[in-house]
Amino acid sequence: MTDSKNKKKKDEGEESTFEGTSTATAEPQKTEGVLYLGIDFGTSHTSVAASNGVRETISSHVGYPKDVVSRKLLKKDVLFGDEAMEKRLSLNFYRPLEILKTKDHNRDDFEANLKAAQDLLKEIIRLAKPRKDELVYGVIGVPAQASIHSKDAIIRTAKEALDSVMLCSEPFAVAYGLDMLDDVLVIDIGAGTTDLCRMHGTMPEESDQITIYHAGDWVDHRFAELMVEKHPQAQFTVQMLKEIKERNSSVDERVEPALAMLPVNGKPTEFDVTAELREACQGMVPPIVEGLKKLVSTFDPEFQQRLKNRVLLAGGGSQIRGLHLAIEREMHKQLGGGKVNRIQEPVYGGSNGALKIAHDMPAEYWEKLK
Amino acid sequence: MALPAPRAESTIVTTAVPETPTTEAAAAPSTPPKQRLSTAQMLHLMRLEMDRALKHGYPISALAVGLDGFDEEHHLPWRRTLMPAIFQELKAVTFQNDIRGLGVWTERFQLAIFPHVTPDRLILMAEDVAKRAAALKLQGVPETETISVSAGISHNLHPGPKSFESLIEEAETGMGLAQSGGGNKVIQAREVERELDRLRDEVDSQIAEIQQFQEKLFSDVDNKDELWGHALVNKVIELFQREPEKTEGVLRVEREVIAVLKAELAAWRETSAAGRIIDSQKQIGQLERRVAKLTESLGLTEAELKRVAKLKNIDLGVASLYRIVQGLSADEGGAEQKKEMLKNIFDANMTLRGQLAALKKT
Repeated sequence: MTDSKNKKKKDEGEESTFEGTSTATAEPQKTEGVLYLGIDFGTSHTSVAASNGVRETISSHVGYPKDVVSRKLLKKDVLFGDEAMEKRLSLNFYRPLEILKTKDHNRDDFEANLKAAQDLLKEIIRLAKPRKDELVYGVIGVPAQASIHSKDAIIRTAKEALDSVMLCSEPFAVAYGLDMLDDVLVIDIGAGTTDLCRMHGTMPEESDQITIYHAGDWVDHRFAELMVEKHPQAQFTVQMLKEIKERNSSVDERVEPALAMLPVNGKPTEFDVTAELREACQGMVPPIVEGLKKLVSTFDPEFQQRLKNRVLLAGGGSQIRGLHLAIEREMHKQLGGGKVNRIQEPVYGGSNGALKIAHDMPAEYWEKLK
Repeated sequence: MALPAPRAESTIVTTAVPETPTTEAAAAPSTPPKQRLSTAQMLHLMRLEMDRALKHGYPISALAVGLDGFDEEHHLPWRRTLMPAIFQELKAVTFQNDIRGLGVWTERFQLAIFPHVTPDRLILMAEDVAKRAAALKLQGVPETETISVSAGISHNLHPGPKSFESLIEEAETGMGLAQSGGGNKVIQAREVERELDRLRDEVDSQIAEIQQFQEKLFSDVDNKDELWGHALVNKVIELFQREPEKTEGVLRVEREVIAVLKAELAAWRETSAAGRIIDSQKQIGQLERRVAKLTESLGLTEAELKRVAKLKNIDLGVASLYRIVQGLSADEGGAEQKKEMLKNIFDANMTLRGQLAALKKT
């Protein structure tokens, strides 16, 4: 659904509701309805697109005050997103979606991360502003690697706020949202993983999906390694580099220099990190193309060319400038050609798709999954 | 119908045989010289005539004539004077009409049969006899006494069972009915019986109807005060059924009572139903006014809630665009393919729920 359509429909919906409640003498209007939510539960960001026109995204960070003093100071029991990131020193800080992918449930912090994930989900649903008198149905895009325990926790949490919930894989939601269901390769670059998914008119099976760990976090760490190597005097954290990356990331040769202020012995010093950042970003390209190559080469030969020419680049990582061209170039080298399209809305690609799935889902399915 | 006591076990033979010669053949003037016959002989001849009429299928009518009043206990002498005179009048009428008949008489009544005579004609003759009897002036009977007779007529032109006994019995019945109906009448008993049967059937059917009506009428009545109608109908029906043998008068009264009862109950029902409808409408009106007030209050409350929420920065949420579950539109591109995919997602979720349920059990 496009923004303009969303906006128009949102306006219509609000107008009718307003009239129904504000004019006592007017014919009473039905205010209850069905609210659909499409949620992209990503490692880095969590987004929601709702059928009331609301779209929100927050970084997938959750923090709980470490002690009573912090709680008094922060005046909150739980913080989310950038606020949590900003105040993380006073918080027990979690990036819960990272842990959802782990199969190691014996980790000490597994339960705490699970709770953080549940709180994050509640928060993103709250941000969608559902009315209490509406049925709320949601489709949640979850990482393909999420363990069954994690899925259980997500479903249990979602059911507290939603009347019915379904899970689906993130890359599929992206493709469904763009109505590209035949002979398409989706590259969904997230923070923790890059998911490659081959769509061929049916639900992708396990053999149609490849997950690689050359994703946003990998770039951050690689960038940090290069910085240590090239600028050993600079003091930084991965989080600082991540912010620099999000502002300046590019794999293009001809870009404005990426200048970053980093402390050296306490003094802010400007560094040109263009080359290091480009190299870190470019490091993702070969493994992605390697994955594409596997998916293309195992596809029906008759349709391989069509598949190569229908590559969708989605996810937060797709915002790296020139990345789609870099992948195309690598595809030329390894696969003899290919065409990569970056989706219009990298942040909401998954949630828009999930919303469309929710919209299209028949009523009886929702009923059975209540 | 019950016959008057003297005729109860009435065959003519067993009833009182007059001391004076009581029987004689009534015949047309052209018949051979009269020869007196005994009552038994005369009755035998009458039976033969009836058998012949039945055999050959010609009409035969019977006439029973009784004197009104002049009870036997106090006025037997008068009767003994009057009855032969009336019999003579009967003979005269018979001769006058140029027909032939056979008859007997006692102090109580006279009986005659007329082969080849239809009941219509015999009615006229009986009326003539009654007129003549009323005009009789006889020695020994005070002139101040009014003389009148009642007559009953029967015939063999009906589809029912026919015999000499039934012919006589029906004539006697007619005479009895005429006497109990005030006297000075001629009644064709079978028609009276038919009329009575019709009346009886009518009353019976009306009783059945009113019982159904009663069930319908009072089935939904919860108020005990309204059950008076129910009790009344029961009582009336009980009274009607108490007496199995009903006279015409009783049947007619019953019919009238039932008609009145039905009309009253219908009127009551209508008033009652109308009253209830009016009550219900009043209640609906009140409820509608309450709903309107509550809706208004709800609107005000919601508006107030919005205002407070706005002041306190509380978000009440944003309404969805959709009022009902949407589902995939059939005319959307690739609908079948998408439907299949949606089913796969649903199936995968169902499988997942199953796995989770199994996991919880373990």
